[in-house]
Amino acid sequence: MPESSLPTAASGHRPGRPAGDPSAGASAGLPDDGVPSVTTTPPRTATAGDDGSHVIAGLDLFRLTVSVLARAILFAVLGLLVWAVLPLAMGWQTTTVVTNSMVPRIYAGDIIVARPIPTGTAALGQILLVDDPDHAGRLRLHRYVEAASDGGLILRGDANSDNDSSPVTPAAVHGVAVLRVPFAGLPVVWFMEKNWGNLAAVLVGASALLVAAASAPGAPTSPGGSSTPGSAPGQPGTPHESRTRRPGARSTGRTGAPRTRRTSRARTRTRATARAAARKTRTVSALLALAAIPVLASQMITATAHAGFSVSAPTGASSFSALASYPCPVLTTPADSPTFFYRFNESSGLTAENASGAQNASQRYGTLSRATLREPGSCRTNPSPALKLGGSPAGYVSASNGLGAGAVSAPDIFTAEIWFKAPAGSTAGGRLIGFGNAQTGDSVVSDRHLYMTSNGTIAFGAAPNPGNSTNFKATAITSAPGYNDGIWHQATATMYPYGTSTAGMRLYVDGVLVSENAVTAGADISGYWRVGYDALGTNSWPGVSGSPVFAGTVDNAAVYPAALTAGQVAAHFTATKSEIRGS
Amino acid sequence: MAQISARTAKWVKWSVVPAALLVSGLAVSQASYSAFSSQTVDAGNNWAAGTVKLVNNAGSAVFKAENLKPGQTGAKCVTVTSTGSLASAVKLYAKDFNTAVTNDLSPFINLVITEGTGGTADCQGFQPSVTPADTSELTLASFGTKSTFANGVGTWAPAGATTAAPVARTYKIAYTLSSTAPDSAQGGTANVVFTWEAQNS
Repeated sequence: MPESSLPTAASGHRPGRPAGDPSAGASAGLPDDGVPSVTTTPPRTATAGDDGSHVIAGLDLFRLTVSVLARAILFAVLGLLVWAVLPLAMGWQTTTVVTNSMVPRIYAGDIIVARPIPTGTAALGQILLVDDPDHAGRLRLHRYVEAASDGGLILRGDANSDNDSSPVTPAAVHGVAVLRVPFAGLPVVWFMEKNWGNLAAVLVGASALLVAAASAPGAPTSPGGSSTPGSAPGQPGTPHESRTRRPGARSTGRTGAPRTRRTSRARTRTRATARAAARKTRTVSALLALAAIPVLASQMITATAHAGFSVSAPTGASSFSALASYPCPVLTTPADSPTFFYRFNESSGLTAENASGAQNASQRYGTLSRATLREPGSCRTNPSPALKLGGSPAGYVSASNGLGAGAVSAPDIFTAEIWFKAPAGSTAGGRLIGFGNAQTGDSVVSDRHLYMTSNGTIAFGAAPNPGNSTNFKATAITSAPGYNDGIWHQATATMYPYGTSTAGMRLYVDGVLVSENAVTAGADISGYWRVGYDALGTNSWPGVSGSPVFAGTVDNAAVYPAALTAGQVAAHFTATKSEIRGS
Repeated sequence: MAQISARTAKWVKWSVVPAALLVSGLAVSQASYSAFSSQTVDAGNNWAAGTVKLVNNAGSAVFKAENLKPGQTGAKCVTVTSTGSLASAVKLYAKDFNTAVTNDLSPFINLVITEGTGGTADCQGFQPSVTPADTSELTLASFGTKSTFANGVGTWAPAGATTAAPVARTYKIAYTLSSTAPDSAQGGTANVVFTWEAQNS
């Protein structure tokens, strides 16, 4: 088939050899194939000019269109990248946005060019490129919506429901976004998303565009390749073939057989192919060079800016408040088994709890009567809560002898212990703790008591009956004066009737023995212990005049059913002084 | 009759270059104009396809702890749920710390924050997410200084989720008024807004 068509083609062209004889050429092609597609006639005339300008039609027109379109797309994309890259020369910053929190203004995949601004000149409403305050090393692209009170900038993604929680310092502002190059950064985004499919598609697309853009319909290469005689069976005299015969004049001298002519044609075709190939190579090189721009620029444009999404889920305001006055923790049980031990640590109420720790201790509570006032304090680092006396009518705390128990006989073996603080310089003196016949009101007989005289002396008084039941004789042992100094002190009184070295009354102040005598008993009465005021009028107690009301504060009042030793007394003082004194 | 000379074709092929550049330039300027010309911020209405969403079930205040005594303790559990389509990191931080506080109690309130699952509001059935529990222990005063996402506490990094298939984490917040709180802190107060924030990673 190819062979049979060849002569026809050859003969058909031979008459057209003389230049400027279009009619001959046209007529020659028609009779044989009858296809009126020999629109190549006028071009053939031009072809003879041998100036490299060819005629294009049909399939070539399509090819040209494809090439032009490919170039348009290619250069449009390259142009976008140029826009993204050129500002770099001015020191502007180019970044690819990788998240969508600035939609609808800016989308992921956009390349944003930011123009540097002097520190502190950002204006509200501008979209700023800043160092992400929440993620070290990241850039953030958000709108400047509010000036923070500390001079920082509060930004917000247009698509975020809240302002960014972290303000940005003015120094962290890289610049103001001024150029938006749409889509150009999508490959970067896809790369970050590991979207290899899209990336591959882009690569394939770019390659295809390159090839298409480089295909040159003006160059005879590809047409020549496809217009070998064998490729057009049954279609002799196709326009393609006519084009390949441009240098046909050279073969005119030869009246050679088709074979010879074919060889010649092949040679010329090879030469043309080489030229076209060279041209094509140049084109491809140029396009590749252009395509290299984004590759070269990639290092710069792959700097990414996060227009990061954020959302906060706040709760209502949580509040904490402490008690106005802390309760005292449970302290260790006092040593040496007191009958009662009143810490006065209750914050309110008229009951003084018994902290002795003994069985049924709670039944030996104290009852606050008349003018008593709880003085707030702490059980830990500051002076502990205490009980203020000295009001009017003179207050006291009466100790219960137990559930349902009435008056008990006054003991001759006991220890009474109390902390006190008299205002500095006070001359009121007054009773601190003692025994009396009445549980409430004034006792007719009060005895075995600790009191302060008007000069600040501490006295321990007892009224033994020297044999006449109605004639008590008040005696007292006293300390040095001056305990009316505004400081907490501890007074301790012990009585013990037996033993040559242990019998008698002893008075300790601040854990130290200050006085003693040989008296081994007090008035033989029944009654109750009480802290604070009681009538002292019956007997003439040394240093007492009138009806003394202690004008200070008392704390940790205790009575023990034994005479404590000097060592025990000193230990009590040491154990409680920090609690009472606060230091 | 479509007839183009090769020269014309060549001209066309190369003239498309400046045309394309021009088009790209127009595209850039148009895109820039639309992005930057308007300063209207209609924030909050532009819910994009990919986003982060976070809610908690605390309702209002997590704590309203009054008349605290030294050593007193308490705990609440708050479940935080993410339905955002983007993977994100979630941090817990303090907002509006100590508004109108005169006697600051916060240095003496110790917080222990544990991440886990389950648990009612009072933490019945709460399970730490790792064993031994990974906790943040700090005073409320110290927590109060963590006022931004960047220095918030927590390690939760939820993957993308949907409303139909949310992901959740429970935060157990325990407090103790220090047993060594001084008397100067008696009657003291402190307040804070526990705030969770998600940022896409």
